[in-house]
Amino acid sequence: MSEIQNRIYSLMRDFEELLGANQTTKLVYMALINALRDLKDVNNEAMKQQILWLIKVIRNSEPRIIALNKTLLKVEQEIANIKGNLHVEQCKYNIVQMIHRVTAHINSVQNMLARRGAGYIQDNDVILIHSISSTLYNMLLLAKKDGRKFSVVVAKQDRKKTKLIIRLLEKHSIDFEVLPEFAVSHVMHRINKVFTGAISVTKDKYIVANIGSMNIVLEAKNNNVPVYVFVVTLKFSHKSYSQQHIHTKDVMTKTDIVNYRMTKYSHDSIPLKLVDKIITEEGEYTSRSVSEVFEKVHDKQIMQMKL
Amino acid sequence: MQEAWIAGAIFLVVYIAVMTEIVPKAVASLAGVAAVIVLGVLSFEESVPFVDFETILLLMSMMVIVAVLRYTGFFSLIAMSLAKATKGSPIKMMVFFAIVAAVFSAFLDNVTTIIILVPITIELTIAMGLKPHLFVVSEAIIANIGGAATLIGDPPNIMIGTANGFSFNQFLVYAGPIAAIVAVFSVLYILAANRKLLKPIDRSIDKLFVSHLSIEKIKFDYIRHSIKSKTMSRSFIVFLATLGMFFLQPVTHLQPGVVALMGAIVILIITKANVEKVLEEIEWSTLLFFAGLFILVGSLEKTGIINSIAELIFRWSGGNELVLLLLILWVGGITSGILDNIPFTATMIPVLQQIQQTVHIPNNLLWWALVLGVAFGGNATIIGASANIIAVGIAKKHNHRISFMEFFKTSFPVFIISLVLSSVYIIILYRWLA
Repeated sequence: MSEIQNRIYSLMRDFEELLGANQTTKLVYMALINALRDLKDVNNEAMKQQILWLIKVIRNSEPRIIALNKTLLKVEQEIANIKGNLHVEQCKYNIVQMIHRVTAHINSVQNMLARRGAGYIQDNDVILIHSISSTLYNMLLLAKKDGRKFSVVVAKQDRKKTKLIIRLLEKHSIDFEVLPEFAVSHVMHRINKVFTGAISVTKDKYIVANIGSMNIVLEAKNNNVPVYVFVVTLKFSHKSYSQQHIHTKDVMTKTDIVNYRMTKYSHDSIPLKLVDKIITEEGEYTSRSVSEVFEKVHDKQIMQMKL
Repeated sequence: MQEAWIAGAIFLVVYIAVMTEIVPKAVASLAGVAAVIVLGVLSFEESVPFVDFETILLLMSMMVIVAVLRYTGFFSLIAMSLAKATKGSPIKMMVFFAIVAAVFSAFLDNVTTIIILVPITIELTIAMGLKPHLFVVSEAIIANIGGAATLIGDPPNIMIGTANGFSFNQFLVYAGPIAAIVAVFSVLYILAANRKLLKPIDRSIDKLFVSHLSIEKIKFDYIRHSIKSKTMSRSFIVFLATLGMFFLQPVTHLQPGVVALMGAIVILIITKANVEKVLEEIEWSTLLFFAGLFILVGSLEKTGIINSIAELIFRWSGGNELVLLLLILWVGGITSGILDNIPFTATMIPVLQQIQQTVHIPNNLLWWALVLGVAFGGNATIIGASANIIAVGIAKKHNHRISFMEFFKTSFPVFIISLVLSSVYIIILYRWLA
């Protein structure tokens, strides 16, 4: 893997861990637009080849960001349609317009999901969240605006991420409490719902979510607390979870007594059978009924989608 | 006579301790103070009046203002806006960040400038697929140059300014133009000498993409978490008002230290900043170091050592005023390149005051020669200025080791350029004003 690929994947991973897959998708598109704008002294063909190579790199990120991968198909399609004699600035304009349409579509499905998701929050709910995606955040916000009285328990992970979640909740006066993610068993009796997002839902019935999510889900199952996954259909992947490029990193740790190698994983994979409800912008599914969604979001359908 | 030997020996030991950093600077200077009092060179009552409280007040107050402004994310916001404007051009990046480094360091201390700019620079250069070394070294160099421009730009300026009652405007008029000229020539030299390393990345979409994605990351890391827009606008207004009061000094007749103190108090009140946190940001050890140093130099003054040094310098110059000016400039520069320029400045202030009683060089040119010498001298070597050491330290933290020679390769030619340009400037001023 080249240095530049490493750098791209590392940046995308940082964003995904902190802000979620949807925000990362938007940031990647924004960077792509800015890069296109600043690109100089290349002809039409060279530009097309450079962008296609970059898209290929982005689509192979570790982990794969499925919503981004799928929508990049539309951008690739636009590039393929560019005629050889078109002025390079016009080509850039066409690609940028397509990116704008793609991001508008992502926003629209995300808003639909947030509206649907807010309906799952009732008065007196005590909701456990582990990480916060923009969808989850918008759902909580909409429910709060609707006057529902609920509280959130934040399972603390790294300082930066937890600080971000707390800031958002505090900003909108949503009741919350924080506890270490390894201590959720002590409060599970007070929790009545666990909400999580996902980076992808795989064909072999797994969800790929932030590291630590699996422990929370298992704890919830152990206490008969329902687990809800909120995910847009664009995140449904036709590849298995083992093909989601979950990033692993070996870290050498030195102590006074022993030096050892520790393997770190960027994400968890959670079997869908442990999840009670999968809510997309189109409806509610169970682990059994979710298969029908895969038919709707096949690459062919994405290519035919009018944006 | 015996007292002079004791005072000289104590000063020398303190100087060596500061240079070698065997003990913290403040401890070294306060230990020296204790020694001169215990050994009877100065009584306690005699020592206190030697402390230049205006210098300490000015330094402390500016540290408060800068701490509050930094807390609001103001400086990071400016650096980020510039990073975005570079549009993947290493040359633009070098020039833009040099301008910011020069302007920041003219109004903040050089170390603060470096702490703000270098981490962002490293992230951005790596994103562009470049080695950050040259950019880090250049920022330290330009920060040292920019510091010469104003009364509050560098601690030696504050010491020289308050010792002679120089106004903010006097500094701007005499030191400002040459600092700007030296900064421009230095950047031009760095660009010319490193043109092969500064190839633009705007023909490569992958590098541009990484650069823009990194800017978003930097924005997130340095700004989104730290921006406090309400307090930022309030603090910025106070900062501007304080600068305005510095400019109006000929009308208000308020000492710079008092103006800065007023600014510090107002900024603390209107931003409702956490005073405890702000006070933690003040470099108390530096202030104590200064207080101790003033007393130690006072002991040299009382025992006649300063007189002897002044006579020696005057004799070296052969009584020629121009030679004397250039001697102060170059000796100041070379000494500051090797030693800490603060104790050197503290020693030279009474020496020059003594010389001034013998020769009457117009328009404080002796002082401007000292200001330029000690400021630009910091660029001679990696150990010439605190900003250099901090910049290299931050680079090392990011796994980029900048060696003494690598720093020297860029900084030494700039040092020579600065002192040559300053010599020409001093000669022109001398001929013109005489």
